[in-house]
Amino acid sequence: MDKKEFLEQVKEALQREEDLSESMALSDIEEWDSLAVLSMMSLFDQLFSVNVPIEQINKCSRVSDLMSLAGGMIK
Amino acid sequence: MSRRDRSKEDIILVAGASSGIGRATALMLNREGASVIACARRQEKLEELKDLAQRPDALFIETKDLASDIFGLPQWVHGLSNKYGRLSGLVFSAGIQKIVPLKALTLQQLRDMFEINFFAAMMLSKGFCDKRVNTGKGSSIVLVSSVAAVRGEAGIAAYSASKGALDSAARSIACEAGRDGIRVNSVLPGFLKTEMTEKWKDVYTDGYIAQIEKDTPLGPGSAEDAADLIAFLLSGASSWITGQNIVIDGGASL
Repeated sequence: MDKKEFLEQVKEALQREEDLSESMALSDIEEWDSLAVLSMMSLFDQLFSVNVPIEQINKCSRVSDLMSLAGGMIK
Repeated sequence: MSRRDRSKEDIILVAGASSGIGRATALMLNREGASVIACARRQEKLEELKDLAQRPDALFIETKDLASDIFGLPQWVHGLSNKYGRLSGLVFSAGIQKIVPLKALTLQQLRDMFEINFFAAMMLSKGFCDKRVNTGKGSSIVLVSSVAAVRGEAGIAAYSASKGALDSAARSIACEAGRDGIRVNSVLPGFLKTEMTEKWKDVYTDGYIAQIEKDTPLGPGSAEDAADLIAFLLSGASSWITGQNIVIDGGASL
């Protein structure tokens, strides 16, 4: 999966109207809340069959940090 | 202006609008002033509905077999909001009822029952709760369950379980969607005289009906009785009610 596609998937999971970029801070994303964290866990499982612990997602501060959790599966 | 009042800007999707409670609800909401998107499998039934509507210009018909693409239902709801405007209400009144004793029940029958009665409701609710689809605070979902969810009866284990699942889901979705101002409730009607009970004369025999009449303090209800409750739960008059499973059965379960 490429970065653009991943950003689209995250945008859809967050039900967000505006586009996302790698450099965006998660705290600046209006839709980023505790349910968004759970949605990300589900998304990683669906897209990459990876179980990402909630603590790892909570440690992320930017969209690019989320990408790094995919373990090299985003090109 | 009463909190029960509606305007054309109230756009409400009614799934399963071609008969019974769904049909009565669609007509009632239309009469009260809302714009109604009436969805069902049968085009001719929806056209009949439009002919009966007091304000046909505010009743839009969408022919859709919900079971044909459950996975795509959230996207379908999104498409409806693009077409008609953001939705303020969702009524899920679609479903199938089959009387099958456990010893005759197959896994496929059980799955078929859950596909439409539960999975479709969940996916429509998912689509509705997308903040790009609904009007936010004040919007409301009503899932039509059944008193069978809380009252056992021989032959309806699959049906009652699928309705019980709806009730449980309503409570949890209410917790999740409440933060966006969306309310979620289910209604559990008891025995209603509808076209289905007329059609199933071999099941709902005169003797059966007489027994229901005897066991129900207020006597059997009509689809309009349930529609009244649904219309209330979709209105501002119920703005502090969410996550509830409300029995409406004329007192039969007392």
